[in-house]
Amino acid sequence: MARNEWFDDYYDAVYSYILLQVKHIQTAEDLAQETFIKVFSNEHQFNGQSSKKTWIFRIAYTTTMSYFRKKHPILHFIDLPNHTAAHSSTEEIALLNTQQKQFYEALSRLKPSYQQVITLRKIQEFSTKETSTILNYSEGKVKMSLSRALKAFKKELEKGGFTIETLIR
Amino acid sequence: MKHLSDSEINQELKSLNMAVQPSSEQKREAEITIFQQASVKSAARPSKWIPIFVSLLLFISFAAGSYVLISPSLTGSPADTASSEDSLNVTESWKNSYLRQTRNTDNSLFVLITTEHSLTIINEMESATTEIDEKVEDGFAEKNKSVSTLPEPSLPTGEFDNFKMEKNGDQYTLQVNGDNGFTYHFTRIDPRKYEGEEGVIYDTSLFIEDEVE
Repeated sequence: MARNEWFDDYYDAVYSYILLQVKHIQTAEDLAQETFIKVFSNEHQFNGQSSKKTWIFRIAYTTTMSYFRKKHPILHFIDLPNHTAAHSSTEEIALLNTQQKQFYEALSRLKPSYQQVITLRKIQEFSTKETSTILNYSEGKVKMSLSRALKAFKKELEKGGFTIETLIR
Repeated sequence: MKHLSDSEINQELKSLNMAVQPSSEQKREAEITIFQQASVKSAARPSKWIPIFVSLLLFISFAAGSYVLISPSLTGSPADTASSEDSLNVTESWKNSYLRQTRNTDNSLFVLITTEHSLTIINEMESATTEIDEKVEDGFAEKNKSVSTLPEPSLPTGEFDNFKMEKNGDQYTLQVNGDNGFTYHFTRIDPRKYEGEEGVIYDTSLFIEDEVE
């Protein structure tokens, strides 16, 4: 597969996945670029055991984790939501409607491991097995984390006054 | 307040994903940057065999260097050293001198006497006449057999013409040519003390320091 095809097919997904974690456009661009440079440097190591997208997301995940480990080593270690970090406002990240903003902010208030599993399973639509490969979890752990993460996510939405009645269809 | 269903949450999360996609401008810039950097990295990446080749070259250099330093055939034993180009001819200084073994062994007590043209080597133990009772001598030999460690010097005795003495550092080579020729090596261990090949010490009453190049 040509490098151009890899880039065209997966750059958008990688960028949005990283942006939802780092919440800063410039940083997301840098990390997405770093991810693809690593992908192209190590493409000979891709052995087809997983899909290309899973393999690329595994690299995106480790690149992003490495960034957090360097920037906030303690928060990263104890898996706490990073409220103190200077994130860009939602307006700076994307043109979000009110409902998307509430989802975005509720997601941001979750601890990082919950954000990861929701982003990969529900936003990027990876299967449980693929998510377990990317995060290097067992499939059981992915299922349990997702269940807890969704519960916590709903609570956060409700804390923000979000109800089923306010959901715009 | 009603709870949200999972399908409603899923739908909204997908909608959020669509909102955070990169613009076409962002993607184009990223593409340029990534492919430029990837090509630079590929070009800058050294071939895999270069480190192996350099390591091998260093190993061979190190091994060759060590061999040259350690090997006696290449570095030269005291004998070779003395006869090498760095050697100084100190025969003149050694003329008219007297070198005597400091401690005798069972069979030797060598004295080396040099004149202008000759070298005389005498073993005083051989020339000495003793009338020690054989029983006493045997008893003495038996008692000291186990502790006697001094080797016997391999110097020949007699008078030799045209000897030559060469020096290289503290290494001295006495050379006599002809039918009865021989070579013997000394190492200077003190200003007036010289150690022979077998570890036997000789000394002289004079400082033999003058060197003729």
